[in-house]
Amino acid sequence: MAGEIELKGIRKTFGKVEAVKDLDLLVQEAEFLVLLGPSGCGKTTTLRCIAGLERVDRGKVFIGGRDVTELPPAKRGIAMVFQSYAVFPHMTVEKNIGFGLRMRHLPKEEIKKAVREVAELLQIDELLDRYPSQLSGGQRQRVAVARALVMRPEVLLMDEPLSNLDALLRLQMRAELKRLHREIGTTTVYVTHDQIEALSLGDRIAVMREGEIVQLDTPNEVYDKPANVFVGGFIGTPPMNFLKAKVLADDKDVFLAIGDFRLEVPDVWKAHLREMTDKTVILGIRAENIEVHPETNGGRLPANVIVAEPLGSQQLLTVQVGDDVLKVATKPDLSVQPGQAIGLALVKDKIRIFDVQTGAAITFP
Amino acid sequence: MNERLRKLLGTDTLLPYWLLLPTLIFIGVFFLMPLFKAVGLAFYGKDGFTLAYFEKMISDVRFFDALKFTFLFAITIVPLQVVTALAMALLLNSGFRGSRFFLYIFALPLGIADLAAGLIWLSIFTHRGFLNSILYALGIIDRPIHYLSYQNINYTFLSVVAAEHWRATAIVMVILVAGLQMISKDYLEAAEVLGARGWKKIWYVILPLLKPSLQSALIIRTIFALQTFAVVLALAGQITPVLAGEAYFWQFLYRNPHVASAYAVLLMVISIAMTWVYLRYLRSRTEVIRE
Amino acid sequence: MSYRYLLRQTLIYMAVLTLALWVLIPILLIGISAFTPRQELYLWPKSIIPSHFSLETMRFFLGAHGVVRSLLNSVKVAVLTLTFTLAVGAPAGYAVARFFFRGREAFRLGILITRMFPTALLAVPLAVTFIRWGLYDTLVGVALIHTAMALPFAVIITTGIFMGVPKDLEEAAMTLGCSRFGAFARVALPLALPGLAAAAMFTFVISWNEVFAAAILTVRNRTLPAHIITTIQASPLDFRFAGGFFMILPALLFMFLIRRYLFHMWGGATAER
Repeated sequence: MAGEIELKGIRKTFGKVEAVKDLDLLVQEAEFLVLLGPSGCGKTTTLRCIAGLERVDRGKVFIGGRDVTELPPAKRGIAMVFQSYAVFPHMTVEKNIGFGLRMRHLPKEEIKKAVREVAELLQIDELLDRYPSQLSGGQRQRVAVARALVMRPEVLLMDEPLSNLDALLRLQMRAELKRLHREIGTTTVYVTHDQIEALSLGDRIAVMREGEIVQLDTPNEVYDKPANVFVGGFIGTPPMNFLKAKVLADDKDVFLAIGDFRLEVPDVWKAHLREMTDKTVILGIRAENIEVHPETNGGRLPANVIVAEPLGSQQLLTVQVGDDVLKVATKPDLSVQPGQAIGLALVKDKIRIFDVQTGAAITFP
Repeated sequence: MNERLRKLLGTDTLLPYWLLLPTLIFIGVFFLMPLFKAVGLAFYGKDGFTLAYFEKMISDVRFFDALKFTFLFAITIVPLQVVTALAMALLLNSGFRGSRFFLYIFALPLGIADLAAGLIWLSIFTHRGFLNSILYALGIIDRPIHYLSYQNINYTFLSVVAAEHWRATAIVMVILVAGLQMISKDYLEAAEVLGARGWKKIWYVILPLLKPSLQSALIIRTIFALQTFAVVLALAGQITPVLAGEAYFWQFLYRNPHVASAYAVLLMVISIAMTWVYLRYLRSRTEVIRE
Repeated sequence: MSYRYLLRQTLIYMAVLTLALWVLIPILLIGISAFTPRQELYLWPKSIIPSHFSLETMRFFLGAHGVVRSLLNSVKVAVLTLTFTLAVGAPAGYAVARFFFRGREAFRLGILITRMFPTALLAVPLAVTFIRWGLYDTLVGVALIHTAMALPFAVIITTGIFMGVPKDLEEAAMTLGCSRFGAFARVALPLALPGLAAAAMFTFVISWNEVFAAAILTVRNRTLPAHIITTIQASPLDFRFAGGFFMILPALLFMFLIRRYLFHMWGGATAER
C-alpha cells in the first residue's frame, strides 16, 4: 500500500486548455510506470498533479492510500527529478543532496551519512564538494537523482530526466535507472516522450493523448497490440504501417482485401469478421512482421520498392502498395533495387485491425 | 467543494494578485490620483470649471518661448543622440578587443543627474570656463565669449544641447546595444552569404531589425527630452525657458499650483501625442526577432 | 592579417577612443574644477591645469550653509526610496516573472505607461496633497514620490532578475520539503540577491539624482540637488562645481558596481514591448 498512487477523475485546465481530462490511474506499489505521449498530451501536468505542483480542478489524488489532494508537495511523501535537473547552483553537491533532509531537521551526522551512501550508489561521492557549475550534464543529472532518492520517498517522480543528455549518456543512464529501481523498489512515475525509453524502462506504459490515457499496458502489449491507430503510430521505429482493407466473405471463407489481394486472417477472427462483411477497416502491421520475397507470385501482396536504407543490423525498405506506403524491415543482406517489384507476406498473427472512423482497435475475445 | 470556487481559492490563482497589490495601490495613489488632481487643478478654480489657468499660462510672456525651446531642444537633441548612440552601438558590436570596457565607459553618463550634467558643462561654457581657456590658449580668441547670456542666445541653446547630448546618449546606446544583441547571428551570416557587407549590411539588414529598439529609444528619449529642466536651469537660467522649468517656477516661486498643473497637463498631452506619432509612423514590421 | 583589416581596426579604435574621450573629459573637467583653488577659477586667462590642487573649494562647499544637512537628507531619502521601491516592486516583479495570470500583460503595459508620466504631473498635485497629509517638506514625502518614479523600473528590473532564476529550482525545493515561501527564501532569493542589490543601487541613483520633485516638495528639508537648484542663482561658481562633483561621485561609483546589470535596467526596453 505504501507507495501506491491512485488518481480519481483528476482534471486540470489552464485557461481554456484542458490539459488533463478526468483521468483515472492506479499505480501499484513498487511499479515503474511510464507516462508516454507527444508534447502537450498532459503527461507532465499529470505528474505535476501527483507532485502537488499543480492543484487539480477536480478529482482526488491518493498516495499510499492517503488523500493528498489538498496537501502541498512537501507533505506528499514524494520526490521528483526535473527535466532541467533543478540542481541548486548556490549549493555544493553535498548541500544539494542533503537539502531535503535538512528541511526535515535530521541530525547533521545522519544527513552526512545518508548523503554519502546515496552518492556512492550513484557514483558521485568524489564530487560532493563541487558546485553544480563545475559538473557535466550527466553528473548534474546524477545529483538530481541522488537528491530525490536520499529522501526515501514513497513515490519517485521523474519528468523527462534523460532528455537533456546526449545519446550515449542517455543509453547508459537508462540502464542505470533500471538498476536503481530494481535495487530500491520505489514506486516510480516516469514521464517521457521517447517511446524507446518507455519500452525499456516501464513495467507498464500509460500512453497519453490530449489529456487522456489511451492505453495502459505492459510494454509488449502496447507494442504488439496497440489500442488504436494513434498508439501504433506513436510507438515503434518505424511506426506501425497502416493500410486500408475491406472485409470480404464468401461461403467458405472470410478474408481482408487489399486492392485485388486477398489476405488470410487468423481463424479465431473469422466468425466475428463475417459480421463486418463489406466494411472497410484499417489494417495495421509492424515493419518486422512483413516478409519480403523477390518474386511476386500469387500468394503475396505485390509492392514496389521506393527506397532501401541499410541500417546496419537490418535494412529498411519503403515500399508502395496501391496508394499506401509501407515500411518493411528485412535482413541487411537482402538485395533489392529501387523500382523493383517484390512480393510481401504479412505475418498472420501479428495483424491488427482498426475501426476506420474511431481508429480504435477491433478485437475479438 | 465547487470546482470554480476551488480554482479561485487555489493559492496559485490568487497569489500573483496579492503580490501585485502593493504596486497597484502605489500606482493608484501616486500616478492616477495625481493625474486626476492635476487635471482638476488645471481646470477647476474656486468657482468651478475654468480655462482661466490655461489663459494665464498662454498669456505669460515666456510661454511661447518655453514651448518653442522645448520643441527645439527635443528635435535637435534626440536625432543627435540616436545617431551618436547608433555609432557607439555598431562600433561596440563589431567585436573588437576591449569592447566590453568601452561599453562601460560609454554607459557612464547613465548615472549622472541632469543637474550635475548641467553643472559639468557649466564649467566648460561659463565665460571663464574651459572652452574659452582652450580657445585662448590656441590663440583663437583673446577675450572670453559669453556663451551663456541673452546676447548669445544661440550659443546658450547649443550649450544646453551639448550637455544633454552628452548626458543622455548613454541610455539610447544601451537600448540599441541590447537590441543588436537580440538580432540572431543567423540573419547577419545569411546577409554575408548573400553578399551584403559593411554599410550595405548595416543599412539593409541591421537597421530594419533594430527598428523595435530604435522605436523604444526614440519614445523614451523624446518624452524625457520634453521634460528637460535642470540642465537648462543650471546652464542657461531663464535665457532659454522650457515648459518643465515654467511648471517648476509657477509652483516653486509663484506658488500657483493651478498654472503649474496646466503646464504639467500640457506636457503630458504632448508626450502622449509624440508617443502616438512614433507608434503610428514607425510601426515595425519585424515584430519580434529574437534568438 | 591584411592591410584592409588593419586599417579597419585602426579606424574602429580611433572612433571608439574619440567617443570615450568625449564621455570622459567633461567628468575629468568637473573634477579639476572642484579641486582648483577658488581664486584661480575666476582668473583670466585661466590655465586648464590649476597651479596646485586644493581642497579649498570642497571645504567651502561643505562648509556652506545647509550643504551637509542636504547631503544627509539625500542619503536618507535615497535609502528610504530603495527600501520602499524594493518592498513594493519586487513582489510584483516576482509575480510577473513566475505566474501566468489574467491581466498580466495589461499590468506590464500599465507599468510601461507610468514610465512616461512627466515628473511635473506627479510632483505638482502631490505637493498640494502632501500639505494636507502632513507629508509636505518631509523626507518620507520625497522618498514616496521618488518611489513612484523608480517603481516602474524596479518592477521591470526585478521581473528580469526573477525570470533568470528557473522556476524549477523553487519547485524542486518544494518537493524537498519547503513551503512556497520557504522555497522562495532558500532558493530564489539567494540566487536573485546580486541582481536585487543592483536594482537597489539603481534605485538609489534615481533618487539621489532627482531634482524637480525634491525641490517642489521641500522647503527646509532639501536634498542635495534640491538645495543646489534652489540656490543656484545666488551661489558662486565654485560652489556649483563642487556641488556637481559631489552629485556625480556616488552615482558613478554605483553605476560602476552594477555595470553588469545595465541591460536588465535598460536593455529590457524592447523585450518588454
